[in-house]
Amino acid sequence: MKNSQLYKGSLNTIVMKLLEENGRMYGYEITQKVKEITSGDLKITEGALYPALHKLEAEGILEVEVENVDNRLRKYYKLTEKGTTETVNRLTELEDFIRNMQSLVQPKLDTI
Amino acid sequence: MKLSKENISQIDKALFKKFGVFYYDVRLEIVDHLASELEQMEGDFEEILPVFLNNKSDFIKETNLQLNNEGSRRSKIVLFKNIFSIKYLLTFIVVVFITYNLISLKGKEWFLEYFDFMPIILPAPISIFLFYEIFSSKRNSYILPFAGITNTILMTYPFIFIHIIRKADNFYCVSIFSFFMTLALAYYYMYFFSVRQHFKENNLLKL
Repeated sequence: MKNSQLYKGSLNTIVMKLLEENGRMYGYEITQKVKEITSGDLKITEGALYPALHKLEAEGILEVEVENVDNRLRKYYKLTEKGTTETVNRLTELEDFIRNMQSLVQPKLDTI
Repeated sequence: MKLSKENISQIDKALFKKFGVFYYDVRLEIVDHLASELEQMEGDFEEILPVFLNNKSDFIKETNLQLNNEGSRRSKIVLFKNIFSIKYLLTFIVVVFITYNLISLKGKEWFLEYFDFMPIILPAPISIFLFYEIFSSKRNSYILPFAGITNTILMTYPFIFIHIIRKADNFYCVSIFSFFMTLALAYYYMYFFSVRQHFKENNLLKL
């Protein structure tokens, strides 16, 4: 991910949000989607993506479907029922965080 | 560029030979990622592949390491969940009951003469089966840690605990023997109904 500590804690939430919007996705597709949405400004560190996906899967937030695509097997990840609820919670948490940070960094905007 | 079955197999072999990606379930994920990226490129596959793999070296090594750790972590969780389960406790109680009655009826000497190595003999077939699976081409990342940890616990029996139960009184003898006997019995159950089931649910055994 972009070389900043600010983004590192958000990888799981980003993945969950993308899966909520797109139904099911595979690893490479997730990296490309993030790149596309942020116009290349934010790049997911590929080495961190798969461990994050596996951890979310172990926590029961994601489930896996395996398909044969273009001469190889592909693992698609999608949100479970628990994952869908958890995504809403994490996004609310993230929005609160952004709002609080904005109040701290740009307090003048709040007073206008 | 479009990748053929041979191209995919070449990537798979390179991951195993060059980068030591030992487990099939880990390779599967990395192969798809690399193949998807290669498909976005233009040029000759044979020329591009070595340079591409060198550029991706950090990603491959990091993902392999992290996913191996994750496989190992999951195996341990499944193993310890089973050991601290009600099923395990009930089996332990049944084994204690049988062992206690056998010792009461026939005596400790007789029991040890015929049964002291049972917790090691009983799991031997599953250990051989798992050993075969480790060396098969479709070994998964959970097999080695699961077999390794279970066998390590079982191996403390012939090296440490068997000497203790030979000297200890009946209470300790029955308890220690029953624990290892239960583990030996549970080894089969844990592998076929817990560990495999866990990975089946994640579609990894269908491959």
